[in-house]
Amino acid sequence: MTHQQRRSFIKMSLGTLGTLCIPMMPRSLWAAANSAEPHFYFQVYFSGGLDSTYLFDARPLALTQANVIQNYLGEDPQEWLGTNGTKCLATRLVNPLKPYRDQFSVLNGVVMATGFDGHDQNLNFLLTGDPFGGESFVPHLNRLSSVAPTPLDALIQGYYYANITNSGTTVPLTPDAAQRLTERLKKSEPLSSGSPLYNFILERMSMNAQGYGAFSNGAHAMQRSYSQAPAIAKMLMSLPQPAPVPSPAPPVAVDVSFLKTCMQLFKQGVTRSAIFIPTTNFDTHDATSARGQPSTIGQAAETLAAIFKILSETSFDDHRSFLDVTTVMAASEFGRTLRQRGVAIDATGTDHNSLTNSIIIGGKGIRGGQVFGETDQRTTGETLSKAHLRFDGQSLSMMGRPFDFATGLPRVDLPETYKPEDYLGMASVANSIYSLFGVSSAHYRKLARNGANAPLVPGLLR
Amino acid sequence: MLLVSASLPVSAHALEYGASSGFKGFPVIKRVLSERWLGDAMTLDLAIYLGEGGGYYSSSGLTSLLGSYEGSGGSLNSTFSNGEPNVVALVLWHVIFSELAVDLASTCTSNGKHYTRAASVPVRDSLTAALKPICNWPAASARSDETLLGLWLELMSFDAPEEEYEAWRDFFKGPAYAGATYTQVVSAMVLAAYSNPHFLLRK
Repeated sequence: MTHQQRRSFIKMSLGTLGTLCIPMMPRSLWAAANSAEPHFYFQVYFSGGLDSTYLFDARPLALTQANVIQNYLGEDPQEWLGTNGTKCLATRLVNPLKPYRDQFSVLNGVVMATGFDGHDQNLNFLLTGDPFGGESFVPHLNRLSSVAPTPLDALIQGYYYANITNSGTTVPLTPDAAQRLTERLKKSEPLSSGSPLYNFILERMSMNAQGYGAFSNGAHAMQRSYSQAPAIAKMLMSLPQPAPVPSPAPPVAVDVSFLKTCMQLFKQGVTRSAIFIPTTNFDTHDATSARGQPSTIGQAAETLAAIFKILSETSFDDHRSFLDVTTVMAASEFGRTLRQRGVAIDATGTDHNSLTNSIIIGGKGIRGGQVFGETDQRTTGETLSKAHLRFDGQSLSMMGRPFDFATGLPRVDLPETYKPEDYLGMASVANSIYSLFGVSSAHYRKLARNGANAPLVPGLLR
Repeated sequence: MLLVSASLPVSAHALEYGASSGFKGFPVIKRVLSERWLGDAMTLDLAIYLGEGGGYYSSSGLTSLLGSYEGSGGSLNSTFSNGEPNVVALVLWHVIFSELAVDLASTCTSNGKHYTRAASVPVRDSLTAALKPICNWPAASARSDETLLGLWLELMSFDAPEEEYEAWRDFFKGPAYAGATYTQVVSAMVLAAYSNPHFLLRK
């Protein structure tokens, strides 16, 4: 077994700045090949464990004054009311997202991999359902959905480490690399399907794809890809020249040129999904980086708002924007602790907390304006469940409250033990996305080994 | 033009991600062609054909899409990425081999040593010698088994089984290239050889 087959870590690099214009295009090649509804997926991954108490899971200053939770914003949050009857506390850092509140919903208190608090394990868990890694759900949205798959599963820009075994057609095609490819294609011998040479090459791939075994499978993958290559080459050659980079260049955190490239390639039927990883790392163990969170997390919110803005303002066709045809999810791999033990509240960093995560999800198929889930540790002296204390004996963390899947509301009981079916977990979020993309329930994540499928988040989907 | 998307049903092929040979990768192909075309310790800078090269390397560059090791050389953290065959990679390989083929095809008009854009040293004499008879295409001498085998071995060595050579030989002896120019046929021969799974895939 090759090294690649044992473990496949993805580490991608950040592309350079650039902007691409998205002209109104005629009926796309995608539409010509797919009579089904267009549906794309855009994932934003905030690396390192973004502290959701600076966005939609905030705490009043009184808790800071009681030395329970650090708060370097130094302001009381405001109520953020969900249309489904659940509310949360949000800081002013979410203000850039307010114009789009009907387009997305907030999921708080999403419990991640309770037995693991490492970055890799929880990112593996987010993407694959297994802290040791496996198949990511993102390529499944292309390969296992109910519509014909696009040649590439996803584009990706940014760094992350995850053990993904189905990442082969998740391609780090940055805007400037795509532009260089366009230029080279225009200068080189065209890929002409139907020419004797093309047919001969395809035939050799096909002949070698006969039979069984890794080599035959690889030849089959080549054959399948080569059969799409002329059309893709033609699409890539039609990418427009990028607009000049504005001066001064925008901060990297709000660079959305990758999104614009993705929209081009979504529309051309080259790829189904994209994964965008801003450069900022949110792993704030030390006080210095923790104090910088109002700025860094503020930028994260601005980036997300910019993504919603561009998607909603860019036409996909005569009557739809890209947000109408794209599901967007933004998440980190876990949340953070309230503080660090034995450190002054105004000089503390925070540590990993896999007992809660906050997810923002919106766009196509999502009923926006809602809030799902809630975390505990909201008042001083709050009684925590034994299920919580089992994982966090020192009460340094907040944990997602148990969740009522019948009503979609957080429960008020205090479970003695942790049972996955009592909590809103990543499995339910993933299955909800699967459901949106028509992935068969046979592929859904389970609550436990050999257990039932995790239920969908009730009321989240339109 | 219709997009020819993957038309196969979700089958064992599609789902056996872990049971499929991936690409050898850009560094390996570069090393193989460097040794084969130039000789030991020489480098054929294939990235030039993608508008990169010349010492330029970026993990966001196009060559990184062709299968490469990320991380510092010799590091325990180096991992092989982007090795699964995909359409973008095949488009890139097409560009590289097309451009390389153009350079090779100009052998017929060069006297003495022959150079490519990707190296500051000439190609091996044996490769130049194997190409020279092709310059008389479509004369019988250019289409002989001896000539074609000679060129195939220079290009492919023993990377592929005999039936691949036979298929390649029979294709170029057939009607498709009966009236082609030497430039067209050399370019096509290089593309056809290097697009073969036996050259690009790990075994």
